[in-house]
Amino acid sequence: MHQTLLDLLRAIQPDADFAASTDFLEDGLIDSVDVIMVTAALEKEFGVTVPGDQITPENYASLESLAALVARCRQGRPG
Amino acid sequence: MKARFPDLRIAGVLGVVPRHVSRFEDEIAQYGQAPANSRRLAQVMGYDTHRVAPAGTTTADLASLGLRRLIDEGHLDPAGVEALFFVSQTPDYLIPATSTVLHGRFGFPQDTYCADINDGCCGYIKGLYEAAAFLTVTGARRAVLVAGDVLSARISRHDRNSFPLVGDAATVTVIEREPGGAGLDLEIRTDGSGHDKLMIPAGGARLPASPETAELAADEDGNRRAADHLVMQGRDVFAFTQTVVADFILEFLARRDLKPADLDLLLLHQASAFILDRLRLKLEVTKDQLPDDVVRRYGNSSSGTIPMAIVAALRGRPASAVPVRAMACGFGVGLSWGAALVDLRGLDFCSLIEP
Repeated sequence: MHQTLLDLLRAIQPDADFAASTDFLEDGLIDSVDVIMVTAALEKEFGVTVPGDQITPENYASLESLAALVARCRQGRPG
Repeated sequence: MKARFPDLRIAGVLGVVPRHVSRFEDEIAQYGQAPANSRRLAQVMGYDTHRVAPAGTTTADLASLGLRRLIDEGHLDPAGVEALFFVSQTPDYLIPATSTVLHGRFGFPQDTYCADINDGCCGYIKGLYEAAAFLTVTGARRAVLVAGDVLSARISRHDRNSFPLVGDAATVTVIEREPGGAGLDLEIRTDGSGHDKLMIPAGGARLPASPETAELAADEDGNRRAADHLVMQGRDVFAFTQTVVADFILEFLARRDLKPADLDLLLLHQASAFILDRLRLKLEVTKDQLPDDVVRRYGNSSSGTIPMAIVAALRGRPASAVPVRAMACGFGVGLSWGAALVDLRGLDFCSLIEP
Protein backbone atom coordinates (compact mmCIF):
# COMPACT_ATOMS: atom_id res chain seq x y z
CA MET A 1 0.00 0.00 0.00
CA HIS A 2 2.70 2.51 1.00
CA GLN A 3 4.70 1.94 -2.17
CA THR A 4 1.58 2.40 -4.30
CA LEU A 5 0.83 5.60 -2.44
CA LEU A 6 4.39 6.82 -2.91
CA ASP A 7 4.19 6.15 -6.65
CA LEU A 8 0.90 7.94 -6.84
CA LEU A 9 2.21 10.98 -4.95
CA ARG A 10 5.42 11.12 -6.98
CA ALA A 11 3.40 11.17 -10.18
CA ILE A 12 1.90 14.43 -8.92
CA GLN A 13 4.99 15.98 -7.31
CA PRO A 14 8.04 14.14 -8.70
CA ASP A 15 10.63 16.15 -6.76
CA ALA A 16 9.10 15.88 -3.28
CA ASP A 17 10.56 13.54 -0.66
CA PHE A 18 7.35 12.06 0.67
CA ALA A 19 9.06 9.23 2.53
CA ALA A 20 10.87 11.71 4.76
CA SER A 21 7.81 13.80 5.65
CA THR A 22 5.16 13.31 8.28
CA ASP A 23 3.09 16.30 7.18
CA PHE A 24 2.95 16.75 3.44
CA LEU A 25 0.95 19.99 3.54
CA GLU A 26 2.83 21.59 6.40
CA ASP A 27 6.14 20.72 4.76
CA GLY A 28 4.98 22.21 1.48
CA LEU A 29 5.18 18.97 -0.48
CA ILE A 30 1.62 19.27 -1.74
CA ASP A 31 -0.87 22.14 -1.86
CA SER A 32 -4.64 22.29 -1.86
CA VAL A 33 -4.80 21.68 -5.60
CA ASP A 34 -2.49 18.68 -5.28
CA VAL A 35 -4.85 17.32 -2.63
CA ILE A 36 -7.59 17.24 -5.22
CA MET A 37 -5.31 15.44 -7.66
CA VAL A 38 -4.30 12.96 -4.97
CA THR A 39 -7.98 12.34 -4.30
CA ALA A 40 -8.64 11.56 -7.94
CA ALA A 41 -5.60 9.27 -8.03
CA LEU A 42 -6.69 7.42 -4.88
CA GLU A 43 -10.14 6.88 -6.29
CA LYS A 44 -8.78 5.57 -9.57
CA GLU A 45 -6.09 3.37 -8.01
CA PHE A 46 -8.11 1.87 -5.17
CA GLY A 47 -11.65 2.08 -6.54
CA VAL A 48 -12.91 4.10 -3.59
CA THR A 49 -14.88 7.31 -3.27
CA VAL A 50 -13.56 9.91 -0.86
CA PRO A 51 -16.34 12.07 0.59
CA GLY A 52 -15.72 15.80 0.49
CA ASP A 53 -15.70 16.15 4.26
CA GLN A 54 -12.84 13.65 4.45
CA ILE A 55 -10.60 15.72 2.18
CA THR A 56 -8.88 17.31 5.16
CA PRO A 57 -5.26 18.24 5.92
CA GLU A 58 -5.12 15.53 8.58
CA ASN A 59 -6.11 12.78 6.17
CA TYR A 60 -3.56 13.91 3.58
CA ALA A 61 -0.67 14.51 5.98
CA SER A 62 1.31 11.29 5.59
CA LEU A 63 1.49 7.87 4.00
CA GLU A 64 -0.05 6.41 7.14
CA SER A 65 -3.01 8.77 7.19
CA LEU A 66 -3.62 8.26 3.47
CA ALA A 67 -3.52 4.49 3.91
CA ALA A 68 -5.97 4.76 6.78
CA LEU A 69 -8.27 6.94 4.69
CA VAL A 70 -8.27 4.42 1.85
CA ALA A 71 -8.96 1.60 4.30
CA ARG A 72 -11.91 3.44 5.82
CA CYS A 73 -13.32 4.31 2.38
CA ARG A 74 -13.01 0.66 1.36
CA GLN A 75 -14.99 -0.35 4.39
CA GLY A 76 -17.64 2.25 3.68
CA ARG A 77 -16.86 4.10 6.90
CA PRO A 78 -14.81 7.03 5.63
CA GLY A 79 -15.60 9.29 8.54
CA MET B 1 -31.63 35.18 8.97
CA LYS B 2 -34.83 33.60 7.74
CA ALA B 3 -37.55 35.27 5.72
CA ARG B 4 -40.57 34.28 3.74
CA PHE B 5 -42.21 36.62 1.29
CA PRO B 6 -45.54 35.57 -0.19
CA ASP B 7 -47.21 36.95 -3.29
CA LEU B 8 -44.11 37.30 -5.42
CA ARG B 9 -42.82 35.64 -8.53
CA ILE B 10 -39.63 35.49 -10.54
CA ALA B 11 -40.79 36.86 -13.86
CA GLY B 12 -37.70 36.08 -15.90
CA VAL B 13 -33.96 35.56 -16.02
CA LEU B 14 -31.48 36.64 -18.66
CA GLY B 15 -27.77 35.81 -18.82
CA VAL B 16 -25.16 37.82 -20.68
CA VAL B 17 -21.72 36.38 -21.38
CA PRO B 18 -18.90 37.83 -23.46
CA ARG B 19 -18.40 36.11 -26.77
CA HIS B 20 -14.72 35.27 -26.24
CA VAL B 21 -14.19 31.67 -25.16
CA SER B 22 -10.91 30.99 -23.39
CA ARG B 23 -9.76 27.36 -23.40
CA PHE B 24 -7.69 25.92 -20.57
CA GLU B 25 -5.59 24.02 -23.07
CA ASP B 26 -4.54 27.32 -24.61
CA GLU B 27 -3.73 28.83 -21.21
CA ILE B 28 -1.39 26.11 -19.97
CA ALA B 29 1.73 27.94 -21.13
CA GLN B 30 0.89 30.99 -18.98
CA TYR B 31 0.96 28.95 -15.78
CA GLY B 32 4.18 28.05 -14.00
CA GLN B 33 3.45 24.36 -13.60
CA ALA B 34 4.38 21.46 -15.87
CA PRO B 35 1.89 21.04 -18.74
CA ALA B 36 1.26 17.36 -17.97
CA ASN B 37 0.45 18.27 -14.37
CA SER B 38 -1.92 21.00 -15.52
CA ARG B 39 -3.72 18.63 -17.87
CA ARG B 40 -4.26 16.10 -15.10
CA LEU B 41 -5.61 18.85 -12.89
CA ALA B 42 -7.95 19.97 -15.65
CA GLN B 43 -9.48 16.52 -15.82
CA VAL B 44 -10.13 16.44 -12.10
CA MET B 45 -11.30 20.02 -11.73
CA GLY B 46 -13.35 20.10 -14.90
CA TYR B 47 -11.34 22.99 -16.37
CA ASP B 48 -12.50 23.35 -19.93
CA THR B 49 -13.71 26.68 -21.25
CA HIS B 50 -14.65 29.97 -19.68
CA ARG B 51 -15.72 33.36 -20.89
CA VAL B 52 -13.41 36.35 -20.65
CA ALA B 53 -14.59 39.89 -21.33
CA PRO B 54 -12.50 42.22 -23.50
CA ALA B 55 -10.28 44.66 -21.60
CA GLY B 56 -12.30 47.65 -20.50
CA THR B 57 -15.65 45.86 -20.51
CA THR B 58 -17.29 46.01 -17.09
CA THR B 59 -20.05 44.10 -15.38
CA ALA B 60 -22.28 47.12 -15.92
CA ASP B 61 -21.53 47.02 -19.65
CA LEU B 62 -22.66 43.39 -19.87
CA ALA B 63 -25.70 44.17 -17.72
CA SER B 64 -26.57 47.08 -19.99
CA LEU B 65 -26.69 44.76 -22.98
CA GLY B 66 -29.08 42.52 -21.08
CA LEU B 67 -31.30 45.37 -19.95
CA ARG B 68 -31.36 46.79 -23.48
CA ARG B 69 -32.39 43.39 -24.85
CA LEU B 70 -35.22 43.07 -22.33
CA ILE B 71 -36.46 46.57 -23.10
CA ASP B 72 -36.25 46.04 -26.86
CA GLU B 73 -38.12 42.74 -26.63
CA GLY B 74 -40.86 44.27 -24.51
CA HIS B 75 -40.08 42.30 -21.35
CA LEU B 76 -39.13 45.41 -19.39
CA ASP B 77 -40.67 48.85 -19.46
CA PRO B 78 -38.11 51.39 -18.18
CA ALA B 79 -40.92 53.40 -16.62
CA GLY B 80 -41.94 50.33 -14.63
CA VAL B 81 -38.58 49.66 -12.98
CA GLU B 82 -39.26 50.54 -9.36
CA ALA B 83 -36.03 49.19 -7.90
CA LEU B 84 -32.64 48.29 -9.30
CA PHE B 85 -30.23 46.16 -7.27
CA PHE B 86 -26.71 45.68 -8.56
CA VAL B 87 -24.91 42.74 -6.94
CA SER B 88 -21.25 42.64 -7.87
CA GLN B 89 -17.69 42.89 -6.64
CA THR B 90 -16.62 44.66 -9.80
CA PRO B 91 -18.38 48.03 -9.78
CA ASP B 92 -17.56 50.66 -12.37
CA TYR B 93 -16.31 53.03 -9.66
CA LEU B 94 -15.68 53.21 -5.93
CA ILE B 95 -18.01 56.20 -6.03
CA PRO B 96 -20.82 56.34 -7.17
CA ALA B 97 -22.86 53.16 -6.94
CA THR B 98 -23.04 51.34 -10.27
CA SER B 99 -26.81 50.95 -9.91
CA THR B 100 -27.01 54.73 -10.35
CA VAL B 101 -24.80 54.51 -13.45
CA LEU B 102 -27.24 52.02 -14.95
CA HIS B 103 -30.17 54.14 -13.79
CA GLY B 104 -28.80 57.10 -15.69
CA ARG B 105 -27.92 55.06 -18.75
CA PHE B 106 -31.49 53.83 -19.14
CA GLY B 107 -33.33 56.88 -17.86
CA PHE B 108 -35.23 55.00 -15.19
CA PRO B 109 -37.69 57.09 -13.14
CA GLN B 110 -36.39 59.25 -10.31
CA ASP B 111 -38.65 57.25 -8.01
CA THR B 112 -36.63 54.08 -8.75
CA TYR B 113 -34.80 52.81 -5.68
CA CYS B 114 -31.17 52.00 -6.53
CA ALA B 115 -28.72 50.06 -4.38
CA ASP B 116 -25.43 48.25 -4.85
CA ILE B 117 -24.69 45.08 -2.92
CA ASN B 118 -20.99 44.25 -2.66
CA ASP B 119 -21.14 40.50 -2.55
CA GLY B 120 -20.03 37.46 -4.45
CA CYS B 121 -21.12 33.89 -4.52
CA CYS B 122 -24.00 34.27 -2.04
CA GLY B 123 -24.91 37.61 -3.58
CA TYR B 124 -27.79 36.35 -5.69
CA ILE B 125 -29.61 35.06 -2.62
CA LYS B 126 -29.03 38.41 -0.90
CA GLY B 127 -30.25 40.21 -3.99
CA LEU B 128 -33.42 38.12 -4.03
CA TYR B 129 -33.93 38.99 -0.37
CA GLU B 130 -33.46 42.72 -0.99
CA ALA B 131 -35.79 42.70 -3.96
CA ALA B 132 -38.43 40.69 -2.12
CA ALA B 133 -38.21 42.89 0.96
CA PHE B 134 -38.47 46.02 -1.19
CA LEU B 135 -41.55 44.78 -3.02
CA THR B 136 -43.20 43.61 0.18
CA VAL B 137 -42.53 46.76 2.19
CA THR B 138 -43.33 49.31 -0.50
CA GLY B 139 -46.11 47.52 -2.34
CA ALA B 140 -44.23 48.18 -5.57
CA ARG B 141 -44.80 45.86 -8.49
CA ARG B 142 -41.40 45.25 -10.08
CA ALA B 143 -37.75 45.07 -9.05
CA VAL B 144 -34.76 44.36 -11.25
CA LEU B 145 -31.83 42.40 -9.88
CA VAL B 146 -28.53 42.57 -11.75
CA ALA B 147 -25.94 40.05 -10.55
CA GLY B 148 -22.56 39.11 -11.91
CA ASP B 149 -18.91 39.94 -12.14
CA VAL B 150 -16.13 40.63 -14.60
CA LEU B 151 -13.45 39.22 -12.36
CA SER B 152 -11.06 38.04 -15.04
CA ALA B 153 -9.35 41.42 -14.85
CA ARG B 154 -8.81 41.02 -11.10
CA ILE B 155 -7.31 37.56 -11.20
CA SER B 156 -3.76 36.90 -12.23
CA ARG B 157 -3.52 35.06 -15.52
CA HIS B 158 -0.60 33.20 -13.98
CA ASP B 159 -2.73 31.80 -11.15
CA ARG B 160 -3.70 28.28 -12.17
CA ASN B 161 -5.80 27.79 -9.05
CA SER B 162 -8.23 30.61 -9.84
CA PHE B 163 -8.00 31.97 -13.37
CA PRO B 164 -9.30 28.86 -15.18
CA LEU B 165 -12.35 28.81 -12.92
CA VAL B 166 -13.51 32.35 -13.43
CA GLY B 167 -15.94 33.33 -16.13
CA ASP B 168 -17.28 36.80 -16.76
CA ALA B 169 -21.04 37.24 -16.88
CA ALA B 170 -23.87 39.54 -15.90
CA THR B 171 -27.43 38.47 -15.34
CA VAL B 172 -30.75 40.25 -15.06
CA THR B 173 -33.61 38.86 -13.00
CA VAL B 174 -37.00 40.51 -12.78
CA ILE B 175 -39.00 39.92 -9.62
CA GLU B 176 -42.63 40.95 -9.47
CA ARG B 177 -45.30 41.23 -6.85
CA GLU B 178 -48.15 38.91 -7.74
CA PRO B 179 -51.02 38.02 -5.42
CA GLY B 180 -51.03 34.25 -5.07
CA GLY B 181 -47.50 33.96 -6.45
CA ALA B 182 -45.22 31.29 -4.99
CA GLY B 183 -43.14 33.86 -3.14
CA LEU B 184 -39.62 33.44 -1.83
CA ASP B 185 -38.56 31.41 1.19
CA LEU B 186 -34.93 31.96 2.10
CA GLU B 187 -32.20 31.88 4.72
CA ILE B 188 -28.83 33.63 4.78
CA ARG B 189 -25.82 33.11 7.06
CA THR B 190 -22.49 34.90 7.58
CA ASP B 191 -19.22 34.01 9.28
CA GLY B 192 -17.05 37.10 9.06
CA SER B 193 -14.16 35.37 10.81
CA GLY B 194 -13.52 33.91 7.37
CA HIS B 195 -13.49 37.23 5.52
CA ASP B 196 -9.87 36.68 4.47
CA LYS B 197 -10.49 33.30 2.85
CA LEU B 198 -11.42 34.92 -0.45
CA MET B 199 -10.23 38.45 -0.96
CA ILE B 200 -8.53 41.06 -3.09
CA PRO B 201 -6.16 42.57 -0.52
CA ALA B 202 -5.39 45.85 -2.31
CA GLY B 203 -7.48 48.55 -3.92
CA GLY B 204 -9.66 49.54 -0.99
CA ALA B 205 -9.05 52.02 1.81
CA ARG B 206 -7.09 49.49 3.89
CA LEU B 207 -4.40 48.99 1.25
CA PRO B 208 -4.75 51.41 -1.65
CA ALA B 209 -3.58 50.23 -5.04
CA SER B 210 -0.04 51.27 -5.85
CA PRO B 211 2.82 50.16 -8.10
CA GLU B 212 3.89 47.86 -5.26
CA THR B 213 0.50 46.16 -4.99
CA ALA B 214 0.63 45.44 -8.73
CA GLU B 215 3.90 43.53 -8.50
CA LEU B 216 3.56 39.82 -9.21
CA ALA B 217 5.10 37.38 -6.75
CA ALA B 218 5.15 33.60 -6.92
CA ASP B 219 3.61 31.59 -4.11
CA GLU B 220 5.01 28.24 -3.01
CA ASP B 221 2.87 26.47 -5.62
CA GLY B 222 4.23 28.45 -8.55
CA ASN B 223 1.18 30.66 -8.99
CA ARG B 224 2.09 34.29 -9.58
CA ARG B 225 -0.25 36.99 -8.39
CA ALA B 226 -0.22 40.51 -6.95
CA ALA B 227 -2.01 42.09 -4.00
CA ASP B 228 -4.35 43.63 -6.58
CA HIS B 229 -5.51 40.14 -7.49
CA LEU B 230 -7.99 37.76 -5.95
CA VAL B 231 -6.41 35.29 -3.56
CA MET B 232 -8.21 32.24 -2.26
CA GLN B 233 -7.35 30.00 0.67
CA GLY B 234 -8.38 26.99 -1.34
CA ARG B 235 -8.10 24.37 1.37
CA ASP B 236 -10.25 26.30 3.83
CA VAL B 237 -12.80 27.28 1.22
CA PHE B 238 -13.16 23.70 0.08
CA ALA B 239 -13.62 22.49 3.66
CA PHE B 240 -16.26 25.19 4.19
CA THR B 241 -18.24 23.97 1.20
CA GLN B 242 -18.13 20.33 2.28
CA THR B 243 -19.03 20.86 5.92
CA VAL B 244 -20.82 24.15 6.64
CA VAL B 245 -22.54 24.49 3.28
CA ALA B 246 -23.44 20.81 2.90
CA ASP B 247 -24.92 20.69 6.40
CA PHE B 248 -26.75 23.96 5.84
CA ILE B 249 -28.42 22.63 2.70
CA LEU B 250 -29.59 19.52 4.53
CA GLU B 251 -30.85 21.54 7.49
CA PHE B 252 -32.51 24.18 5.30
CA LEU B 253 -34.44 21.45 3.54
CA ALA B 254 -35.20 19.54 6.75
CA ARG B 255 -36.76 22.67 8.25
CA ARG B 256 -39.19 22.52 5.33
CA ASP B 257 -39.76 18.77 5.60
CA LEU B 258 -37.75 18.20 2.46
CA LYS B 259 -34.65 16.26 1.55
CA PRO B 260 -32.38 16.70 -1.47
CA ALA B 261 -33.94 13.80 -3.35
CA ASP B 262 -37.29 15.61 -3.24
CA LEU B 263 -35.96 18.41 -5.40
CA ASP B 264 -36.04 18.48 -9.16
CA LEU B 265 -33.26 21.02 -9.35
CA LEU B 266 -30.54 22.17 -6.99
CA LEU B 267 -29.16 25.37 -8.41
CA LEU B 268 -25.93 25.62 -6.49
CA HIS B 269 -23.34 28.33 -6.92
CA GLN B 270 -21.03 27.04 -9.63
CA ALA B 271 -17.84 27.23 -7.59
CA SER B 272 -15.97 24.40 -9.31
CA ALA B 273 -16.92 21.10 -10.84
CA PHE B 274 -15.01 19.26 -8.12
CA ILE B 275 -16.81 21.04 -5.28
CA LEU B 276 -20.16 20.34 -6.92
CA ASP B 277 -19.23 16.72 -7.50
CA ARG B 278 -18.47 16.20 -3.80
CA LEU B 279 -21.65 18.00 -2.76
CA ARG B 280 -23.59 15.75 -5.12
CA LEU B 281 -22.15 12.74 -3.33
CA LYS B 282 -22.96 14.15 0.08
CA LEU B 283 -26.50 15.13 -0.87
CA GLU B 284 -27.06 11.89 -2.77
CA VAL B 285 -28.49 13.52 -5.87
CA THR B 286 -27.87 13.08 -9.57
CA LYS B 287 -26.10 15.32 -12.02
CA ASP B 288 -29.45 16.13 -13.59
CA GLN B 289 -30.63 17.41 -10.22
CA LEU B 290 -27.42 19.24 -9.41
CA PRO B 291 -25.86 20.36 -12.69
CA ASP B 292 -22.37 21.80 -13.13
CA ASP B 293 -22.40 22.77 -16.77
CA VAL B 294 -22.20 26.51 -16.07
CA VAL B 295 -18.80 26.34 -14.41
CA ARG B 296 -17.57 23.86 -16.99
CA ARG B 297 -18.71 25.85 -20.02
CA TYR B 298 -18.88 29.47 -18.93
CA GLY B 299 -16.91 29.68 -15.67
CA ASN B 300 -17.63 30.98 -12.21
CA SER B 301 -19.15 34.47 -12.32
CA SER B 302 -19.70 34.79 -8.54
CA SER B 303 -23.21 36.10 -7.96
CA GLY B 304 -24.04 35.40 -11.59
CA THR B 305 -23.76 31.62 -11.45
CA ILE B 306 -27.15 30.80 -9.96
CA PRO B 307 -29.15 32.79 -12.54
CA MET B 308 -26.81 31.41 -15.21
CA ALA B 309 -27.65 27.93 -13.92
CA ILE B 310 -31.33 28.76 -14.13
CA VAL B 311 -30.91 29.79 -17.75
CA ALA B 312 -28.77 26.75 -18.57
CA ALA B 313 -31.29 24.39 -16.99
CA LEU B 314 -34.48 25.88 -18.37
CA ARG B 315 -33.60 27.49 -21.67
CA GLY B 316 -35.51 25.85 -24.44
CA ARG B 317 -37.51 23.57 -22.15
CA PRO B 318 -41.22 23.37 -22.83
CA ALA B 319 -43.35 24.78 -20.02
CA SER B 320 -44.52 21.30 -19.10
CA ALA B 321 -40.92 20.22 -18.42
CA VAL B 322 -39.97 23.04 -16.08
CA PRO B 323 -38.95 21.62 -12.69
CA VAL B 324 -41.49 22.09 -9.96
CA ARG B 325 -39.32 21.99 -6.87
CA ALA B 326 -36.13 24.02 -7.13
CA MET B 327 -33.68 25.37 -4.63
CA ALA B 328 -30.96 27.95 -5.11
CA CYS B 329 -27.92 28.04 -2.86
CA GLY B 330 -25.02 30.48 -2.89
CA PHE B 331 -21.85 30.26 -0.83
CA GLY B 332 -18.47 31.91 -0.73
CA VAL B 333 -16.84 35.24 0.00
CA GLY B 334 -17.59 36.66 3.41
CA LEU B 335 -17.83 33.90 4.30
CA SER B 336 -21.54 33.91 3.60
CA TRP B 337 -24.03 31.37 2.40
CA GLY B 338 -27.73 31.23 1.80
CA ALA B 339 -30.50 29.36 0.10
CA ALA B 340 -33.93 29.98 -1.32
CA LEU B 341 -36.77 27.83 -2.54
CA VAL B 342 -37.69 29.21 -5.92
CA ASP B 343 -40.55 28.63 -8.32
CA LEU B 344 -39.36 28.83 -11.90
CA ARG B 345 -42.59 27.92 -13.61
CA GLY B 346 -44.20 30.42 -15.93
CA LEU B 347 -41.17 32.62 -16.59
CA ASP B 348 -41.85 35.34 -19.16
CA PHE B 349 -38.29 35.06 -20.44
CA CYS B 350 -35.30 32.81 -19.86
CA SER B 351 -32.44 33.24 -22.26
CA LEU B 352 -28.74 33.78 -22.79
CA ILE B 353 -27.15 36.35 -25.03
CA GLU B 354 -23.57 36.43 -26.26
CA PRO B 355 -23.06 39.91 -27.70
